[in-house]
Amino acid sequence: MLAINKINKQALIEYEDFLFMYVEEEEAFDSEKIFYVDAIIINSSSTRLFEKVLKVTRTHYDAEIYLKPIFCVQYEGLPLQVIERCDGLTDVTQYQKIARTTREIKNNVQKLFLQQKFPSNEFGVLYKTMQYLYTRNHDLVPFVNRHARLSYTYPFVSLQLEDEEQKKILDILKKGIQDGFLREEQMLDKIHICDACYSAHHNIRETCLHCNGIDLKVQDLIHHFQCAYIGPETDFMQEYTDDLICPKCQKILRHIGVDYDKPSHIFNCNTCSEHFQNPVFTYNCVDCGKISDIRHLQEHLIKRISLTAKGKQLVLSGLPRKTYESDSKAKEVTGVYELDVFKNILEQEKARTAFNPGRTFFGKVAVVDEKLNGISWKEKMILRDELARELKSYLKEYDMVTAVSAGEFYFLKLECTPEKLEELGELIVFNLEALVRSNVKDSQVVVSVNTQPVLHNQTVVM
Amino acid sequence: MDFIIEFFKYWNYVGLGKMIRIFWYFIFFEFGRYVVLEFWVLFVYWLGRKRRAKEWEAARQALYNEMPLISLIAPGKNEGKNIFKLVKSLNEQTYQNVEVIIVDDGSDDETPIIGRNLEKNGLIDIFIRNDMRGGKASAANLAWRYSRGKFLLHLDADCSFDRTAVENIIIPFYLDPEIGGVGGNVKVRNGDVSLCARLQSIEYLKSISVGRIVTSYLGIYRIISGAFGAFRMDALKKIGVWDIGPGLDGDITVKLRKSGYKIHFEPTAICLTAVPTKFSKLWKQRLRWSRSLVRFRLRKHLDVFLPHRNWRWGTFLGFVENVFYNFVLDIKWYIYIADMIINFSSWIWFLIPMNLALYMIAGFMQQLSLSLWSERSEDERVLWWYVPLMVFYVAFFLRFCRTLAYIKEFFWKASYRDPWNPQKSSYQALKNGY
Ligand SMILES: [Zn+2]
Ligand SMILES: [Zn+2]
Ligand SMILES: [Zn+2]
Repeated sequence: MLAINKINKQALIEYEDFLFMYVEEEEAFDSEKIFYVDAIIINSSSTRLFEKVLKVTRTHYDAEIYLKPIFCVQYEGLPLQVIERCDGLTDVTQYQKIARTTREIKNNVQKLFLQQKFPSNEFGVLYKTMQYLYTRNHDLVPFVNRHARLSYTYPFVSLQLEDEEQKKILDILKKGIQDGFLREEQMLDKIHICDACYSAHHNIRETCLHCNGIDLKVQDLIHHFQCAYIGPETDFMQEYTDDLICPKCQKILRHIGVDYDKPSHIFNCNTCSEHFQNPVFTYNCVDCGKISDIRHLQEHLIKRISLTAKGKQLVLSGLPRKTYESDSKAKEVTGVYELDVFKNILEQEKARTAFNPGRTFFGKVAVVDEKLNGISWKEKMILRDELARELKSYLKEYDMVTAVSAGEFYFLKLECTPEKLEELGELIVFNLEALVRSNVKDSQVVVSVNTQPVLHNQTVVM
Repeated sequence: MDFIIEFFKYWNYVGLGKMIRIFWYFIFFEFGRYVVLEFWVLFVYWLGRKRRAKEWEAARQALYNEMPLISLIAPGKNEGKNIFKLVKSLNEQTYQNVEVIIVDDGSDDETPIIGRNLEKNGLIDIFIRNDMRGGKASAANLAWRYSRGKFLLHLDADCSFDRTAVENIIIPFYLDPEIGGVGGNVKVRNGDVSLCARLQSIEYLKSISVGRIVTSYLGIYRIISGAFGAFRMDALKKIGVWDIGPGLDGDITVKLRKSGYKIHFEPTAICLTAVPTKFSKLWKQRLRWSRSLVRFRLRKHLDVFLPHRNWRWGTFLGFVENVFYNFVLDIKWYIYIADMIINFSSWIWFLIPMNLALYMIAGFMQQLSLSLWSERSEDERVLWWYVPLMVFYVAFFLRFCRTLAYIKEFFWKASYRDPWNPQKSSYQALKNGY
């Protein structure tokens, strides 16, 4: 069943049970309609139109839209950046093929867990990329693109970040690989990017060792065996003949390897007139104008990347709640802080103790139990938060606690005496041990508390 | 015990006249030249110390008023590990308006990496490497080609220097404008490593530290040591810098003299060098040094014996002294030994100990004059114990080495096959009669 409902240059095509959006011109593209079509077919040689459609869809917050299939009608000389990023090249009549691919993608999208919140923007990008790879059942294959800052464009991922932020892609993918969600496949290329703006576009030149000038002249050194004279070729050159004549002994050089040779070369800087043999190779960044030694360029490997089983599992079941809510949870209980915040406050307290010494203490609580290794990560996080809250309940309102892990906590006790602190330590040990025992089966838990005074100008050993 | 009584009885019976007849070689050539003459010259030199100190101070002022740029060049092969130490020691110098030029003559170790690094960090001014080795002369010439100083200091990379060494080696140029080259005082740094090195410490003190004061004073000083020698840049240009070695130190000195420049030895410009610590290595080194005598004195520069435009008594006498003491006497010594064996064979067991005793006495007398002159005589006191051994070292080890070298060079021109120079250069030098 094929029905074409053409409105201006933008048409909606019904095929089987699908509705395709068919776009020929930029002005005709109505982004409002994307939501209810099943796929988009672009029939235009304009890269701009393609880029616009891609940008609007792929950066949408709704998974149904950012994962929408996009097809392109085959043209002669269609640029790589189009070919590599659409879900298929097609002919205007190949609706069957389009429908098949669309169905596959749609089915895969439906299997996904609809994750809405992410612990960070970067993680969001990683997560969405994994969803994209899962639904396309395809590896992430970056392709050369001279318009891209990194000189490589990653399908889907590159669109999620602004041009200046493209370097983050590498970090995001690296994180995904470290966490086991992604895997590196074969290496495609090496790129060298500016350490200031992460651009891969630069000129590489030889520059003077002494003044960074680029006006250099290189010459061979000539060694005349007979008299041991050695100097640059110009020393031997004559004004009116092509002969090379030794300036020391006035003999004509005849045969290389027999009476003379060229053992080396030398550069002469026309700016500062210094001599040297090894110029510095510098780059001049096209994007930010930085000039620096090429050794300062960052090297990155460009690889094909695939989704691992763990990655698939993640996009199918979603993130464990704690990872993206731990921030907010920890802050719910007043006085339980993130480690970074805690360290910050500790520094402030240290400064304060200059005026009020001997009354502030740093404590370290260690919870050691072999059984803890047996419980799941999720459970561990729950236990961690519970222990932190419990610990906080023995402290005053203005005291602070942070959880490093389920087995390690720090606290900061203000306005205290060593005697009181010792009592407090015993109390903490007793109660935390009880708490772990009630939560973990066959627990052999040992809790220990170590304290040290916080002193001005003295490092706290963590 | 009986032997000692017999020994003295014998010499008492022989008497002075006959003793001179027996030890003529020692008395006229060795004792006369190295003890009597040296003591006399050093005494005269010592008398002039006050006048010299005054002139020296004036020359020093002149140097610091002008503050000329001095190019320090260190050509060499596989010296990487020494370059950093060298640069450090140069940074300590009292005179600082210098540029440092290192030429790496085809090293096959990490020298280029070290050199480039020092150049990049501004510790040396130019580091030039020849991928193909060209020999010591061409390396020095290359360094000279890129030197911009008014004076050029040729250094060995494995040497280190007293803090005032650079200043003191340049000052003589301001004492006398006719001076074209100044030799520094080379002493042994690693004397305490082995017996071999100890003996060389004494030898260096004798032949360089004191020996050269004497030859310089007499105007017959011959060799500006390549380990530490200074040259006027214009003089070097005039004489066409270095020719192919070995013995290029002596060669360039002769060329300077022939062009009419004076040569000066400066005992206060002190540099320490590491000497071979094994006799086998020392043997090879000395073979090479000795061969250059034949090659340069007797072949290349034979014209100093003939009258020509820049003919000088000093140059002539220096040559004669050098050839005489090293070459003629070397042959005479064998004649002397033969004389002893043939004419005094029955008394040989009395002659040998007496001969050794005389040499030792002379040795101790020389050591006395060394310690009077040295600025580090405290450190060198230990050397006294080794003086008796010097007799054997000088009379046998060095002499046999020298004889062998002369024979080889004179009859077979061995130095042209010396692996010390690349084959291509040696071939060309032989063909063109250098
Ligand atoms: Zn020539
Ligand atoms: Zn320059
Ligand atoms: Zn840049």
